[in-house]
Amino acid sequence: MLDALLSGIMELFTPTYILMFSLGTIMGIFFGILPGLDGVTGLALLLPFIYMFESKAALALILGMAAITCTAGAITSILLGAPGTSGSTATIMDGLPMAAKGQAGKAIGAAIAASMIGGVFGALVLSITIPIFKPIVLMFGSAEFLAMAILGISLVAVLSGNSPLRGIISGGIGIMISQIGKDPVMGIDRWTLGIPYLQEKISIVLVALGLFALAEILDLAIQERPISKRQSTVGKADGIKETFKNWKNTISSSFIGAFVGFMPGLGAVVACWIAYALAVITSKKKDLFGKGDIRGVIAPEAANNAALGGALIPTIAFGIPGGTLMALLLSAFWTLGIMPGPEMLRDKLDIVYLIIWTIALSNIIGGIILLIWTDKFAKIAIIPIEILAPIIIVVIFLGGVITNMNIWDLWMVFGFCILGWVMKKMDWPRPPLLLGFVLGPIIERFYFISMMVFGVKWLYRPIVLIILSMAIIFIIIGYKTVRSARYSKIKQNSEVD
Amino acid sequence: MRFKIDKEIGFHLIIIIIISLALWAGRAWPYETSLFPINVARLVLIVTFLSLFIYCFEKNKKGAPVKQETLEQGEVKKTLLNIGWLAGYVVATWLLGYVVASLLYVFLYTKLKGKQSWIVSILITLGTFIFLEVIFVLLLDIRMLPGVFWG
Repeated sequence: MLDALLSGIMELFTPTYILMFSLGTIMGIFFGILPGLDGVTGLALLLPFIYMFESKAALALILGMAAITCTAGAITSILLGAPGTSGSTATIMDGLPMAAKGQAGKAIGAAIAASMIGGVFGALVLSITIPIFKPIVLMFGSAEFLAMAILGISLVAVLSGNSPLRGIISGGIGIMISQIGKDPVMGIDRWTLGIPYLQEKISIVLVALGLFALAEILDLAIQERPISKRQSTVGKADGIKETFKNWKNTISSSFIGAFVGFMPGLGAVVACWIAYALAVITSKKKDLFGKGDIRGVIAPEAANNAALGGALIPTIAFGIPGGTLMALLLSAFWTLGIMPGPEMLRDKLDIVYLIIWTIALSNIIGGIILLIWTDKFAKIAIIPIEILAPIIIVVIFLGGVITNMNIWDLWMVFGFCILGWVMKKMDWPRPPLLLGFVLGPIIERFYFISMMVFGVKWLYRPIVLIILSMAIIFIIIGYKTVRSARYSKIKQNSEVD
Repeated sequence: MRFKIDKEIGFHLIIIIIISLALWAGRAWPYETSLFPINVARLVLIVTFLSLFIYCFEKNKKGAPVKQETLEQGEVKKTLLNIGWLAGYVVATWLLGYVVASLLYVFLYTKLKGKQSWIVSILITLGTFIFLEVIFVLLLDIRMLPGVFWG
């Protein structure tokens, strides 16, 4: 095992590997920063070409790219409210208010530092758990995945600010929107209004771009003000310091990311929300979240990068992909003649460790490249809106249209923009809608499988009981947060009177 | 007692109408298809009614609506104008294709709405063209969305 570990490191520093890996990292930054493009797009574009390279060089290229997209995705989430990748959606919650307060540099610095730590943590988890993973995987079945999804939806209680009922409505609407399209069991159209476009599920990219990014730009354009009225007063160094100061938050979020990442169908997008909610729950000053609290940037960013390491566990150990990115990675492995599964763990351990080291190093190198550019990125926040708005709107619509090249995608982004703007003006919470949208299909799928396999007995499984107890705790804490927020508001009002 | 429908009540009513229509649309679905979405829709409908009831109760108790941001006449005009720019961009994309519509949008927005100089408007438009054409069309070989009349 030690031989394999060292052999992986030796391979990592060969000139060809460094070259390909650096190329992959730069491509990953590019795909991560542009809304609508992510690791999946990058990998899909690379797949037809990888057979031209030697297998380890190609491995460096694709893993270098896949590992860094989430880190880069945080930059547009913070500056524009446009998540570069779906794993950066929760970063908008506090990243955007920080940019508005003139702290864009600090937020980006913290996001990158947390991403680096999360990415390395994910790789470490992967290296430690690979040999002992089989019993852990076998403990989790559809019932446990369903319980995890229910735990995720219970976060609505935490994400609703001081309006829990509106949060539930918003989350429910998100679930309903996620149900538009063909029913996965019977293949019957649901709420498609007879429009063929709606038979396919609506992409999360369109929802996030419209609900947050375009709605925010529309609001700024109406108010005729830039993202931030002030030059960024605090830089990346402050953000990095804050990440290390909040080390408990960083590590626990990385752990959540790696844990949720390995669960099929959940991945970085769910991990970032769970980590965010846990950061709120464990904080003493809960009311600061959503208004530009740095911990609200650190938690999701540490989690989404760690999720990649977690997601690779079942992919490498069993050849079972947990999501689209992993499915593409798996097909890339096959193209390169690498066959993931128990045999790979036995006979090709050096390649397994090479994968692990590549992810860790890619996070570090990519993070450093991004940190060098942080202060320049932060200056985007003070560009006058009449110049910034058209450019950003073009990029947002590009993100919407690029996957399917369908005009309906743009109407969807436009529609969600109007909904997001109205919700913002009416003070209705938008994050629960996005969370409901993400978790709706997951809950439905695992609910059907669990009911078919276990009947109602799925509820009595020990791990399910533990996870559901945690969900109840989340709801109670959410309720208490609302109560304490209301109490402090009443107290403030009475003091003013 | 005269009851005035404010924005909050209006928004609740819109949600109630949409969910009612969604429930009506799903009445003929088979059990497996309807089980999850219809139950969620029912729950959301109940919670929306509850939220509306609580809002009306609190409003009635206080005698005045909870403080809300109200749009002035000028703001309404600005809001509609900005939404119009976005809708116009989508319509232009449908007619002329993504690249041409984007260039037109950037130029017209910076020149007419942003009141920038000709040079600034042309430079930003040119930058957008290079960004779209070089990175996406030439490097990534992506064929941009064509329009009905162009592309």
